[in-house]
Amino acid sequence: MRMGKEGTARWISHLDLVRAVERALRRARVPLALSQGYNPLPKLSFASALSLGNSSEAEYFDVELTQRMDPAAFHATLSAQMPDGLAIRETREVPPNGPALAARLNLASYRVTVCVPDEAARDALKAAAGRILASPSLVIPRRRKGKTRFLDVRPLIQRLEVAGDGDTVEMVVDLRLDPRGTVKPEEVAGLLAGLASLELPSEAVRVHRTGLYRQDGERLRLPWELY
Amino acid sequence: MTADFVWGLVWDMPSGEGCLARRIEGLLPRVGKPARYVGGEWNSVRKDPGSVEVLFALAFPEVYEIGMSHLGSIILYHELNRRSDVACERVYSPWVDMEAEMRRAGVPLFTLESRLPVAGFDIIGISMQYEMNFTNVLNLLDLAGLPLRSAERGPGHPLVLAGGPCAFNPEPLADFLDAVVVGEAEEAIHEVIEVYGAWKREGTGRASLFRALAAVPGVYVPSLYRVDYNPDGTVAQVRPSVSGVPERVVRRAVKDLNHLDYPTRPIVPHLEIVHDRAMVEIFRGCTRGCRFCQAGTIYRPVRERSPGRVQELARALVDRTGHQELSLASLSATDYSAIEDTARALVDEGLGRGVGISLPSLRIDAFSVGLARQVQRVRKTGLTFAPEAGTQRLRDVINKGVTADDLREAVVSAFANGWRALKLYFMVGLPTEDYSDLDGIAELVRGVERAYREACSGGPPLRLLVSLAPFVPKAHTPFQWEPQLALEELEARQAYLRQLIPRRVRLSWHDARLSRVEATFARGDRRLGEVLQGAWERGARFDSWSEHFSYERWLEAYDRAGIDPAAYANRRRPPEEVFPWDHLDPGVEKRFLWREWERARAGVPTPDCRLARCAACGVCGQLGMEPVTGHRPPGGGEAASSASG
Ligand code: SF4
Repeated sequence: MRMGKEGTARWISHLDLVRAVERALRRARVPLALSQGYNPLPKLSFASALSLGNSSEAEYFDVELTQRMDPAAFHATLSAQMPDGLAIRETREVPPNGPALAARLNLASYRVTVCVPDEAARDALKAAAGRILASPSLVIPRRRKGKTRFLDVRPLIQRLEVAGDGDTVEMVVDLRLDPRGTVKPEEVAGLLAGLASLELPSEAVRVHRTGLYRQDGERLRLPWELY
Repeated sequence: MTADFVWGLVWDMPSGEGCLARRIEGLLPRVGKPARYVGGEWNSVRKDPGSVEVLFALAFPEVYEIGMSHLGSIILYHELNRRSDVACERVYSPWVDMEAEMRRAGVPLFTLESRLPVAGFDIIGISMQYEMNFTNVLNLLDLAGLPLRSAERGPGHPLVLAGGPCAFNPEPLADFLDAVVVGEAEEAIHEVIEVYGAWKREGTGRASLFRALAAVPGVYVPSLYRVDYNPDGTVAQVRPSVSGVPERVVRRAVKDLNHLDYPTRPIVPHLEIVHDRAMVEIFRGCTRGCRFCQAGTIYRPVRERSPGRVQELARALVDRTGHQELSLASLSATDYSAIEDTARALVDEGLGRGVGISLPSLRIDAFSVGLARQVQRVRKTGLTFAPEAGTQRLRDVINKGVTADDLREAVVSAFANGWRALKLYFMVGLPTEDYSDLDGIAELVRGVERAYREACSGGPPLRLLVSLAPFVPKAHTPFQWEPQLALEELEARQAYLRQLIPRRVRLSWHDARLSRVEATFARGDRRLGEVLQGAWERGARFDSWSEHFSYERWLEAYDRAGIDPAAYANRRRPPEEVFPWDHLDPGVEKRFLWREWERARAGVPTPDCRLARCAACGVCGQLGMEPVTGHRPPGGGEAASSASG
């Protein structure tokens, strides 16, 4: 399934999003495969969590059924049960027992919109993007469980295009999903702002996920093209 | 970069959404759990505000996760929104971080559905569940930008209506509220809407609205009553200050739940809430007659929903919410006459779809544990029992019909059935309690531990939680004449128990100072309004959250208002005293409550009228009701009728 996450639904945390989808699936009364145990849950697997407040048109998840359903019928049945802002965009049938979605995807694309006070700020952001792309490494501190380690995020930033006019800046950002460490699009915006000596309040940055992919060299595939 | 600049942004806001909606969006990245404030949940009802006659803001003076768990509010939301002439939208107390952001940015209190300012609504209906939420009530009015006091509000301001259990003594809030629905509101609220609609069409002044509302049975308009005081400061009388207003406001109650509409499309919350499950109310009322319990008075008599109807509603709820858990809601689930068959039928039906059944309130006996075992698949959450008192003597005083044997059988059965966690609830400072009763609590706790060792020797250690709550005398109970123990004595008894109960047992302490404030307001009068406002002005809100409660703030507020809290909390009231809530009539007679207090002192229990004969509390006669239950009293008592499927 490919699902959108927009409007008020942007404020639903990943954990709550999973529960919202589980509930929609139960309401849809489709033949769900359930996990074993005291607390049987639908067999659902999500590709990649989105930060709170970000929107998306590319939330992918797998649902396992106990019997085959026509994808179009499944799409219509589930769509009727989805809350505001969580529209099902696409439904494809894939073979069962494929590897977990999350493990197979390695690239996420975002559109980041930043509101800036003036043109000078906009140009400063553009210049900062150029500096990031030109530098071979970009090491940032990461605190986890009280320990600080350093991560070079530059190799994770595969694409960074900054455009825009007036008081908005539009960025196209492709980020690599690496099990050893990832960088978030809002962090990239923050790095740019830091380099441009701009103070960006969180509400001035809007992040929208446009796609999730598997990239092997030149070849770019959508999640369901992997099977 | 200024905040105004950011608010000027037009993100993907649907057209027609005003500037307030955008300003709210700007606050969300700055607060915890923003999903509390966005609405749009499954089954939430959004109407065009311009298409209805009455805009109703249903306000709950607590945070979203608590307010969304409240069944009464779910029912009212449904009752109001099924009318085509009303749009009912929700509002909860913004958590302290959101409140700070709202005040900083000048964002007024708004409803979740349309993000409209509450001040623009026709009616604000506030749920009063607990005295320690009273400061949140004031805070909601203030955040809405409304004058706090009824007398200061005028044309163009919403009608401030309230209801809930605290409606049985709303006197501390009397100056702030315009009208109060006393008792069950699902029928009365329609009459209130009719009266309001007619008044709005007429276009007359606020005073005529108040008079018209006071004529609705069960509606109390505090400003139409005056309170006279005796020289010693006690209440001499509360009586109508104008003619045509009833001397006593008799509580509203639904005769038969089976004829009621029920919300089978409750809102499915965006984030995990306290009771995150579908709820079917299986019965209302409880006549076990615990003498400390206000619910045991104000919801009488017992009215069961028929098993057939319960199952039908359960099915619809699961279908329409997708919840994984269905709870059978009532004051005491295992007292439902058809509990076994109903629970089993629901379990059989639910299993295939992964829906679990929960029994939130269990009686203390082996039957209940056995039932819980059959019904509840998840046992890790533990069982909760409330013996309330440590000795048989004191349990007889409070009419808690539970023996040490019942408790032992219940815990033995729980351990045999695989439970490894248990919660026990007790009250400290009950009338007539002495230190031997506290020893009794420790003895019961040791007995539970012993039973566990016998049942599960070599197993994992028992996870035992003992909760000790100070007794708070409540209005309309047999203990309403009783003082609360002095604060120092309550704390001394808590400390005594602390050293008596083994360290491996987890103890949960209710702050005795908080209970004292609660005791002051639970039997308070109108003069406490000033204390309330004073405490709120000093920053009091979310007082039921220990991290936000400050006793010093309350002491200052008492002081400033010239009020002695001991006169409310710690004074033994003589039998002839007029109470500030005597004009609010739950149907149960004050005479009965006094008789129960005398029986308490004599240690004489009063049996449940569901199972024995009528105890003559007066409610059935006065409200023209009768118990609706499948239990058959011995000898076929005339007061009971049966509800068949
Ligand atoms: S009047 Fe009698 S039957 Fe009715 S609730 Fe009271 S005690 Fe029970």
